[in-house]
Amino acid sequence: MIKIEKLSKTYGQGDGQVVALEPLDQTINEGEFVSIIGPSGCGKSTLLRLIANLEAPTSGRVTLETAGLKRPVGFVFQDAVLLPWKSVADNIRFPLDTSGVPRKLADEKVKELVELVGLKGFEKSLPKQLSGGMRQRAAIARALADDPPILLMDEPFSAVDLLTRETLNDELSRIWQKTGKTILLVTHSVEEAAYLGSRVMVMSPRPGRLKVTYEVDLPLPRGECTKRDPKFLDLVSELRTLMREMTS
Amino acid sequence: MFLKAIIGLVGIAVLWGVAVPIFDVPHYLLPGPIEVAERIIFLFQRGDLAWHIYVTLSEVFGGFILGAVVGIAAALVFSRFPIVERVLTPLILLLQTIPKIAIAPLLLLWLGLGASPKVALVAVVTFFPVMTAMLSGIRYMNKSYSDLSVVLRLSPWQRFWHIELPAAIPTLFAGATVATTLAMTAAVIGELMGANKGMGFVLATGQENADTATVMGMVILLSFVGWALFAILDYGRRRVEDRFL
Amino acid sequence: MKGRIKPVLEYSGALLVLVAAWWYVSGPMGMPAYLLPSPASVGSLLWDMILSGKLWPHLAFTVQNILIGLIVGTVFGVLLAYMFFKTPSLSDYLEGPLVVIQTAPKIAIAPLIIIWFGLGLTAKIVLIFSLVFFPVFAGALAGFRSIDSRLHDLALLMNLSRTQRFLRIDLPAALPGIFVGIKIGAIQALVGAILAEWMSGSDGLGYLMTFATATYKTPLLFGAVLMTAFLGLAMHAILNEIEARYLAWSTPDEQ
Ligand SMILES: Nc1ncnc2c1ncn2[C@@H]1O[C@H](COP(=O)(O)OP(=O)(O)OP(=O)(O)O)[C@@H](O)[C@H]1O
Ligand SMILES: [Mg+2]
Repeated sequence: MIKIEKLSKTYGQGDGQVVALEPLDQTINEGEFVSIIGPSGCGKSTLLRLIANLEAPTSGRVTLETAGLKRPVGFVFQDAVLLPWKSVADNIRFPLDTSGVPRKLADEKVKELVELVGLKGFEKSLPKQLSGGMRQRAAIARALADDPPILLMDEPFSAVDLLTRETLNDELSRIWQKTGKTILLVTHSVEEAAYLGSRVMVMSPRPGRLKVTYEVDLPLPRGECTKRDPKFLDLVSELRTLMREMTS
Repeated sequence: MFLKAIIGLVGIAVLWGVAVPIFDVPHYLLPGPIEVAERIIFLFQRGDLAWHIYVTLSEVFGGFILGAVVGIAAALVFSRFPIVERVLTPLILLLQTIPKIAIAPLLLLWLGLGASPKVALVAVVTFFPVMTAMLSGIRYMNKSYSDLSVVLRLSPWQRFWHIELPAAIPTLFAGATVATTLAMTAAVIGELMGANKGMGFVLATGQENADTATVMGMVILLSFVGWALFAILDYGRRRVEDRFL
Repeated sequence: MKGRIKPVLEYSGALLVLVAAWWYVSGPMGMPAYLLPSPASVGSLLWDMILSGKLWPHLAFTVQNILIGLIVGTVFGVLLAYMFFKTPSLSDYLEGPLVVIQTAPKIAIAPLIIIWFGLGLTAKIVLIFSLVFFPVFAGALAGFRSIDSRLHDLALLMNLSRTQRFLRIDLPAALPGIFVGIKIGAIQALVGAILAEWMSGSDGLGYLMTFATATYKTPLLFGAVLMTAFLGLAMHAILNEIEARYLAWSTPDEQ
C-alpha cells in the first residue's frame, strides 16, 4: 500500500519558485496498477520521485508498507540510466549483485529477463552499442531483477518502437497479474494508460495537481479483445478529450 | 604523425652527431650521440644502471599509489561531507600553492636519504591533481547515477565501488596523466637533493665527475621514462574514453 | 571589495591553523627541536635576519634570477611558438620530440647546465630559462592555434603588415594561452632557482637550505623553507591579480 497525504513539492526559492505538485492525497492499494497521465511538466516525474524518496517533499508525506525492506521500490527512469561501464547483463544483474544474491541464481534470473525484454544476443554489449529503445528495455529488466514489490515507471516505453512496446505492455500486464506487484506507470499514451491500469490518474499542469481518477473496469487478463471492448474505447476517448482540453 | 615524430627525433640526433665534429665541440662539453649511447650501454653492462632505474621507478610508483589512494579517499570524504570540504578548502589551496620544492628539504631532514622522502614527495605532488580530478568526477557525475544508488539503496562502499569510482575514471585518468610528469620530477628532485641511489643520484654523480656523456645519457633516459609513463596513462585514458563514452 | 575580504580571511585562518598545528607538534607533543623547531624560534631567527640585513641578499638573488629567467623564457617561448604556428611543416616534425620533452622531468637538465655553464649566475638563469621556456611555448602554441579564424580574416581584410598582425591580433588573442604557460613556468622557475642554488653557489634561499641542512641549523632551514613557500604564494597571487586585471575579457562572465 502507498499512502500519500497532502504531498506537495515546490522547487527553488523566491522568484524562481516552481510549484511542481500541489497537495495531493491518494491511497494506492497493494496489487493495484495505477497509470498516470497528464501534459508535459505537470509533475508526474516529481510525484514518482517523491514516492521513491529521491526528493524530499515540501509538505505532506508518503508512507510505504514496504518501508522496512532494503529496497522498498523499484524504479525505471525516464532515460535509461544504465551504467556505461557495465555490459547489458552486468547492468541487469546489478541490483542482485549489490544485495548479495549468489552469482548462479543471479545469472539465471538475468537470462530469463534478457529473454523477456528481447535482448538475447546483446548480453555482452555495452550500453553505447544499443539503440535508445534497447537501452530502455535493459533498464526495465534491471528494475525487475530483484523483484520489487512496488514498481515505479517513468515513461518507460517512450523510446521503444511500437511493436516492442505492445509486447512489453502485455508482458508487464502478465507480470503484474502473476506477481501482484503494485505498479505506478507514467505514460503519455492514453491507450497504454487505459489498457494497463486498474486505475488512471489524470494530472493537470501549472501548478501540477490531480484532476480526476478513473477506476478502469475492464476484465483481466487484458489482451487483443480488450482493445476492441467498447468500454475500453469509451475510456480512451474520454481521456483523450480531457487531455486535449488541458493542453489547448 | 607518429612517423613524422620519429623522423623529427632521428633528425635531431643526426644534426647533433654531425654538428659535434663539424664545429669541433670539445667532448667534455658535448659528446656525440654515439658516445652517449655507448656510455648508457656501458652503465647497463656494468650492472647497476638497471638497478638505479628500478629504484627511481619504485619511488615513483610507491609515491604515486600512495598519493592517488589518499587523494581519492579525500575526494570521497569531501563529496560526502561538503562541510568538511568548506572548512578545509583554504588550507588545501594554500598547501597546493606552496611550491613543493620547499617541502623537499624538510622531508630529507625528517626521513633521511633513503627512498622514503622521495616516496613522500611524489605522494604529495600526486595527491593534488588526483584529488581534484576525483572530486570533479564525482561532482559532475550524471545526477541520475546518484538517483540510481538511492533507489537501489546502495551501501556507501557499493556506491563508491560500482558508481562513483567508475564514473570518475575518465577524469581520474586525466588527473593521473598530469600527475605522472609531476611525480617523475619530484623523484628526480629528491634524488638530486640527497640520495645514494636512483637515476637522479647517477645524474648528480655524473655532474660531480664532469662526466658529460653520463649526464646527457641520463637526461635522455629520464625523458624517455617520463614520456613512457605519460604515454601509458594517456593510452589508458583513451581506451577508457573509447569504451564508455 | 567584499568579495576580496572573505578569501583573505579564509587564507589567514588556514595559515593560523597550520601554525597552531606546528606549535602543538613542536611544543606540547614534544617533537625534538632538531627535527622541528618551534614557530617562535624560527620567527625570531627570521626577524633577526631581516633586521641584520642577512636575509635580503639571498631573497633578492633568488627573486632576481626567477624574474630574469621568466622574462627571457617567456619571450623566447612565445617567439618560437609563433614560428611553429606560422610554419606548420616545422611543427609536424618537431612536435613529437617536443611532446617527449614536455613529459620529461625537465629538472634533470640541471646537472648538465651546471657542467656547461659552471657554478655561477649564468647556469642558474639558463636553467630557469629552459624550465620556463617549454610550458610557455606549449601554452602560446595552443593560444595561437585557438585564435578565432574570423580574426585571421579580419587581419587579411585590413591588410595588416606582419608585425602589425603579430602585435595587434595574434599576440593579444593568444594571451590567455600564453598566460597558462607563464603560470606553470613561474612554478618551474621557482623550483629551478631553488634547486640550482641547492646544488651550487653560495647565494639564494636554496643555498640557505643546503647550508642549514649541512650545519644542522634547523631553525634556519625552516626559515628558508618558509620564505620559499611565501615566495611561491606571492608569485601565485601576483599572477592571479594580473590575470584578473588584464585577461578578464577572455573568461566568460559568470551568469
Ligand atoms: N530539479 C528541478 N528544479 C526545478 N524545477 C524542477 C525540477 N524538476 C522539475 N521541475 C519543474 O517541476 C515541474 C514538474 O516537472 P516534472 O518533471 O515532474 O514534469 P513531468 O510531468 O514529468 O513532465 P514530462 O512529461 O515532460 O516528463 C516542471 O515545471 C519543471 O520545470
Ligand atoms: Mg517526467
